[in-house]
Amino acid sequence: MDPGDAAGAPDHGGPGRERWLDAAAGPIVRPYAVTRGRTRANGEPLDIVAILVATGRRPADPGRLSRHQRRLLALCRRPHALADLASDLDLPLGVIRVLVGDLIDSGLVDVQRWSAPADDPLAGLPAGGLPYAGPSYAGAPHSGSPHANAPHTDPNLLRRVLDELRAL
Amino acid sequence: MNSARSDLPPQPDTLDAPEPSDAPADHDERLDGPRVALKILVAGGFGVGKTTLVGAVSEIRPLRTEEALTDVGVGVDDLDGVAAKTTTTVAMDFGRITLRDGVAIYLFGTPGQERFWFMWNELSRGALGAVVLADTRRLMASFASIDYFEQKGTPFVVAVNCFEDAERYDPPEIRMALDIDPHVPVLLCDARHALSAKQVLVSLVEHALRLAGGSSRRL
Repeated sequence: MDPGDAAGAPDHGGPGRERWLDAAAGPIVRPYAVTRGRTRANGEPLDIVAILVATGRRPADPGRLSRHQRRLLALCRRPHALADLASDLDLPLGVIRVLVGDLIDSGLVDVQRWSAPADDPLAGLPAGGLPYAGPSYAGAPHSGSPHANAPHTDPNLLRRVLDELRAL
Repeated sequence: MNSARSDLPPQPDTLDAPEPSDAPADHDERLDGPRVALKILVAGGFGVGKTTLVGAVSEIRPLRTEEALTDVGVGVDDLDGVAAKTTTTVAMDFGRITLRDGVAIYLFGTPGQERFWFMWNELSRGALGAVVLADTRRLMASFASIDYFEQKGTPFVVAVNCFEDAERYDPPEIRMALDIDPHVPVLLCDARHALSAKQVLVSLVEHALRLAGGSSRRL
């Protein structure tokens, strides 16, 4: 594999922090060729339903993006969940994580932050609600306790979901 | 997306080619698509109807992920001759229900075997809740899922998929057989039917809402 076939992302941490698979790794090498052999994205892993959206910023050097990354970038003009991106590109989730991680590091894609709609009477929240960047999105450890500002424990959001499900 | 185009060599103008869209040119596409996604797990033994249930309420999409064969797995599985293989691709299904206002529900059928529990950890983190699908002919197969969600504090309901050739039991009998806490909903369903599958999800969201401190009464 030619490391010069870079995916166009800044090389955080240097080679010491990258996990390269060797020839003994078997058939999995092929999908990971598109990530230059890296099996882990920088930072915390993205949640399987983290919503990714293009920032609208233009890549400094578009030619250095891989075709998969250009496709991801085009898809992310509309918000897409990580699982949808993996399914659309028919690449394993772990591969998509690495490629999307590069796009995030380059400032081309961002994780959509959830905030309670302004008209929801959420006690104690400023107008517009607090941006949520908690466990299900940033991949922080699951504490098991309710997260006051997490979508999956927001009573107002759950009530809306319930009403809409009943009406389906 | 045109797959032929994506096979072309790098072209800067590819970035300007939008995804096919009916929206007018000045439409901000970032306002389309989901703004918040909620995960629901569908767990249960092999062949209990997880994919059937997901397919009854949503459009199924394939997803590939990888399983790392851990040291534990190497000890258990007989991997002589394939010892070089450290990961294997796992195919799983998921479904999406798109609601109004940018809310989307993602349903994940979770592979039942213990060696897939690495996926469970990922899926249960930040999940709205889980459906434990049970088959009265093989109730034992549900124990592991129930234990798991109890330990994680993930809201869950037990839905008994009523197979035609299986003996019918009432929810109270099933609750007793599975030793389920009184507050956990137990219901019968037919995973093949959209209305029945939807009712399972409704009862899960009601349960999650109660645990989140909200009332599930109709607004």
